[in-house]
Amino acid sequence: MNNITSLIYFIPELILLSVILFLFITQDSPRRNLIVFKKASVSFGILAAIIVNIFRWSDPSHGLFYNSIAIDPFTGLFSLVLLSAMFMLTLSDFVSPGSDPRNESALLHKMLILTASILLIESNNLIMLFLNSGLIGIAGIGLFQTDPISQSKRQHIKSFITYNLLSLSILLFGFSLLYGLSGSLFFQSMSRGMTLISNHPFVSCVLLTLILFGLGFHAGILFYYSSFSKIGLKFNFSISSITLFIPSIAYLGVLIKLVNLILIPDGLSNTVIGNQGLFITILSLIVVTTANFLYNRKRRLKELLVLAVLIHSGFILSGISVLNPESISASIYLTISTVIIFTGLYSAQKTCSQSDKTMRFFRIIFFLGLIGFPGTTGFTARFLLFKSLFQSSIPAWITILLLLNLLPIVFYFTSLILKSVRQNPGNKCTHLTVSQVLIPSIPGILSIGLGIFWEPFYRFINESLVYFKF
Amino acid sequence: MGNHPLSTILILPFIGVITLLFVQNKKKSAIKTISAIVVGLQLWLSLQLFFNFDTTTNYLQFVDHYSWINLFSIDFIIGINGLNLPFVLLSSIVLFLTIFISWNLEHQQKTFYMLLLIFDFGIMGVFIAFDLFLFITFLGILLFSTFFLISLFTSDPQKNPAIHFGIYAIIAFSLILIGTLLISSKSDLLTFNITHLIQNPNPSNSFQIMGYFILLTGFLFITPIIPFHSWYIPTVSNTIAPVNILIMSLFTKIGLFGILKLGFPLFPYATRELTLIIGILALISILYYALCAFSYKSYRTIITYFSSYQIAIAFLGLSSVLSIKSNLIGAAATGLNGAIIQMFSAGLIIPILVLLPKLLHNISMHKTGINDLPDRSRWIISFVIMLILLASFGIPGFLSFISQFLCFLGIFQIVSTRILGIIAFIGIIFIAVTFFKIIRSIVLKNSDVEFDVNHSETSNELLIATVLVGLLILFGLYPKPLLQTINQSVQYLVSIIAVI
Repeated sequence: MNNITSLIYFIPELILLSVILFLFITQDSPRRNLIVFKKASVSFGILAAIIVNIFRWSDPSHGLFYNSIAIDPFTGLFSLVLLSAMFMLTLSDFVSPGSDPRNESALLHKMLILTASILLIESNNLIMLFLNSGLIGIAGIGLFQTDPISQSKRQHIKSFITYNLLSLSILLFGFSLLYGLSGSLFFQSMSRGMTLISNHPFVSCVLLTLILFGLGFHAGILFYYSSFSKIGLKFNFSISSITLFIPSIAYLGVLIKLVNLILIPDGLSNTVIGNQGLFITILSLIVVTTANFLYNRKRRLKELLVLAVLIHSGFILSGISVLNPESISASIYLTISTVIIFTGLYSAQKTCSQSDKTMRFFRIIFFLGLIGFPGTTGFTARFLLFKSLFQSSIPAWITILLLLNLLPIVFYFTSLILKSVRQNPGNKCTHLTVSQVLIPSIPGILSIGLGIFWEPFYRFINESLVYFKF
Repeated sequence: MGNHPLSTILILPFIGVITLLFVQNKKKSAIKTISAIVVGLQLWLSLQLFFNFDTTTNYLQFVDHYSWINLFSIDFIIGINGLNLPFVLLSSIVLFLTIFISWNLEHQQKTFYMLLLIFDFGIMGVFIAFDLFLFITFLGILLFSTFFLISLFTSDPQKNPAIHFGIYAIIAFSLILIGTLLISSKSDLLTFNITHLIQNPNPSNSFQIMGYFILLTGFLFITPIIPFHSWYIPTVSNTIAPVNILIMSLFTKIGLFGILKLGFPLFPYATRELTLIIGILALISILYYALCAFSYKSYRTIITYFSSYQIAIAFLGLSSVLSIKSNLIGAAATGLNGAIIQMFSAGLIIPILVLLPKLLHNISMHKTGINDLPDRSRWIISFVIMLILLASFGIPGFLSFISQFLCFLGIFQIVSTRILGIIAFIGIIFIAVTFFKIIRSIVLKNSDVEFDVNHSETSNELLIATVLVGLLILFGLYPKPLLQTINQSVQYLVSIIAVI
């Protein structure tokens, strides 16, 4: 169904594009009361997109523009996660006391990043994937410009641009090799061509390396730590979160799709992936260990959050390497768990002041999730991931080393919890509104709820892999 | 409540914590009363379990089984058998008494009682959970609450031992998690149900040795057994008395319990082959702790070493499973019975020993010391204190004597463990001398042993010490109910380990 009628299946994307158009038209308007309309259009636009996305989830796969972009339950799930994360982040910005006026001017770029991320995960051919990757980079650079630029920040933007270009060029090489080997740009037909290289582990490993390095910058993995972390630390929390965090979710989704495509060509089961899978697992072990070494003396919350994102990306990569339904579901679960915890921490940080009791309570809940305290979504996600790794053919010692790499992060965040508990009892928020409590409560409830009653959600993730080959 | 006593036992502290969340900090009596009611009800239910326990069978009793995660066969299964009932009873008694011991705690009372109830929730869960996922969940809660109790309730904030403990706890938890994941992943059943896993252990010898080693190391990390002991002494020396009691009486039992519950039955081959390691470590610990206790003057340090020594004795009892290789099933069962009773009696002794300095202080408040009391009173009080100390050391007539006797009886049946037992007697001699030193110091009022008293940390000492000594005498003179409770499950455990 590649005609105009297919558009009906892409209503969430159309809503987001309409909001972007509205923000673009009104961006130079001097009228103050337009700000309320802008905020309302963004909030309701994303909310409407979430609702429509939920309804279209059970629909069969649909393509648009000659299948350049396509939706299926997997992309639908990731779109839902992206939209929900963005909804929470923007809402937290809107209700935060003394909200920064720069946030309004950055709305357009933020929406661009969100839409590009959704289109990235929905991309069904290599060209669309590449173009959306470029769009995310450009929108990110635009977003940085909305923050007051100091000399050091200018340096970081330069390095961001350099790494972006570097990752794009590596991606270009990777895609060229992929096209050359498979003879197709479209994912479905590419899969058939990949059967030929299944007996050449070296070629597969080169291809995987190029793709992992190409996507790794935005996904927060591999050896782009310095740029990733400096941007995370130096820029406004709102800007760095949207530039790094939202695209990283989409990139991890793309990575899952591409690795599945490369490692399990048509007609072959995942029993052939041995060496290539092991290669990715070892890579993920190196990534996680390096991140731990680089951050061994960091104690500030922002630094530790960057470490947490890097470590979790490494773990997600290890889950991808096994490529069975359990490990992929566990990787997605871990991604979603990180999203819940991160958005929760962000909203708690934004809506209340540091010494505030409510804020401290929420912070402790989310830190518990980050350290993987039993009964939280963080624990369940890791439990599922390591369970699938132990069940796989990967040597147990690699899994044990991966698991032991969690110890530093557990230790650091436990120290932060202790610090929070030891603080002198603060006052309640002076003007605490319902929305200021409600917004961090949603991820808080999700963090505990999905940590205890995770089966329905896990099944939901499992069902989203209906078009995957295992 | 009547049909689901175990679920009620678990849910009570949880309700207590939620209730305390809504009580204001300044309403101190309400906080204490709520906690006392919650733990009191738990104690009452535990006693009901003890009296209604069917001692003729090794089956799991009072089972509550709820479906949880069907996809991975993870269920909420809790139950009682002869192995965990003594620990549940001990926890209920000690937790209830700890509420009264800490009755006069001045600072952060609400935080303390909330953490105590979370600790209660975690430790009860660890004891009664029969699903690996559930077990590891409760273990995490327990370790976390213990970490916070240690962090927030130090007697000397300059020497905070929490970080030290935290590192050990994290490593222990990771290793136990790895062990449980390996067990469930490599099992043909792909289940987390401990009973099913015990009935179908993985037959691969190499897997058994790896799994056993990981799990054993994990549990030893939270037990004061050499060389995993370095967290224990600073932790116990620098925390307030009620936290001391929780750690020394209850927390340190988790390691031995975990080995009995998971290590032995899930890895029978490795248990038969590798348990000598436990025996050797236990022997080194007995000698080391006995010598340390003997050489220190500070009473607090002495009882810290003594508590470790008692745990080491129980671990020595565990090594009696080596007798199974020589087909001496009865010897193994005797040693294991002894190890469990040793843990039970050690749990009851520790609070008495912790409270003793305050008790002495209370006696000498009105006079300058015991020597200044009238003759008759002096002898009565000296006799009572001697009774307390001898009960702790383990003279005949007390439960600690029976437990130590059974441990040694179990290990004296084969040559390898007999040698361990003979050498361990050197430690017993040193401990005996240390106790006589303490008694002499109290009666003659000399400075061989220094008693340091913190007045605000404990209360109701006399009442609590009387109750505990009474229990030790009661079970010491009539240990049948306790032995009967344990024996069937121990016999079953030994039969599992004996299967070739």
